[in-house]
Amino acid sequence: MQKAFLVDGSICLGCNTCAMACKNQYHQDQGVTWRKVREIGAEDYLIDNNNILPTLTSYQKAPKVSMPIERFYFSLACNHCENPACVAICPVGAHTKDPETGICKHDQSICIGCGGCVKACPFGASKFNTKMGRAEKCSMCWERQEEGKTTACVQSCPVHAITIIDLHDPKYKELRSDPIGIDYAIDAETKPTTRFIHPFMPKEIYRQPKG
Amino acid sequence: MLSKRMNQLSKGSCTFPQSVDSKEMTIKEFNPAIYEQFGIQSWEELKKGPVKAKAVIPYADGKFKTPSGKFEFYSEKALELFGSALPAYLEVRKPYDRFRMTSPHSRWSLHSQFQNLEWMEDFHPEPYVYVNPDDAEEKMVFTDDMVAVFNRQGILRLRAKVTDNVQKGTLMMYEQYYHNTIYNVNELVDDTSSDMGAFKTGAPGVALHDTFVNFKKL
Repeated sequence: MQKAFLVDGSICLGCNTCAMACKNQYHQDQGVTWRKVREIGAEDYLIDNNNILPTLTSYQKAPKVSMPIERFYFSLACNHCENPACVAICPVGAHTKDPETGICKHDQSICIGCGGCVKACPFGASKFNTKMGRAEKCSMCWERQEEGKTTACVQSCPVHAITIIDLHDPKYKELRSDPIGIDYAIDAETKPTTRFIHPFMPKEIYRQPKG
Repeated sequence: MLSKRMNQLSKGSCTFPQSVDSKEMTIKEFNPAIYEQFGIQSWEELKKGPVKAKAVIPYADGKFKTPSGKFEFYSEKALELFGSALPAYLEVRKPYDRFRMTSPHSRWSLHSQFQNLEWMEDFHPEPYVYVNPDDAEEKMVFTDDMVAVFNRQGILRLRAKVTDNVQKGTLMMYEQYYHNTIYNVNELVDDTSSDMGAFKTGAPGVALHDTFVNFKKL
């Protein structure tokens, strides 16, 4: 089993409720947001301060698109990679990958704040909390999920644009793993599990003026 | 506090209650219309638990809010209020600058409320002016450039976002307050009254969408 987020860019409103629910659930400090709603078409690579790809490896970026700013969005947090870089680099084992659910967890009580995961993650999912001196990231609300609840982001979304799927389920095989128009390492060796439904521009219908 | 100071300077200038406790204030908020909408008799019923408001959907019962309940092409009420029972062409306000400015409500706040929350700032930290690509090309403005938006009333300095969401010839800025910035879109608005404000809200409001501005790159 490999749990993964499926984000639907075609219905997301960009209301940020998911990101606020996430921030509210974990009382994230100011300046730290685990989930971020990314504007498709708005992000000029290397200007995006919130997710400068911090790794030394250069990755192939998602294709740029010309779409109106503030119309389409992808809500992204940790991608819960199948081969996570944070787990590989963490010297104290604060990052773990759950063998049962495939969730990449982070235990802040073990974290020593070396910042390795922040630099290693191709997606900038691990955030450094300067107040605590430790890293933190989305753990897909695994405590909530164990209680039978869903994650804060999924529960809060008013249009159900985020869902949690099991990637090993064959019916999700066709889903795309490459987003468009955002700063995202599409060929990362860590194998991100987040799946995307692409947005599309609505069909324009004009009433022909007479004559 | 403001009310207290205003009455100190000029007695009776503000009717807002000066010193009431929050319980008294809350009770005052409940009027018969509120009770009807929530289907309760008294505010004390809320102590038992929350109640859901009845949704107010215009035209759900097939009736408009006109005296006849129908769509009125000929309106006695309009004759009484505006001196013409049938729709007539009125001269629009002459643009006094290049671009029309709209200042709609933002999804990030309720007017000036909630923007003082620090964690809301993480999602929407600064104001933007939204510019159509054609207008942006003419002024040589790209997304994230600092621009000055100005007219005869005032000037604002903020970043631009180039997007097709805004029509050509129009600039859009949200009417909200931002934490730790001096941005206030009302600095560009003049005091022309709207035509139906007194009928709709009881006081002639400002004709906000008849504000005209120009902008340039800084």
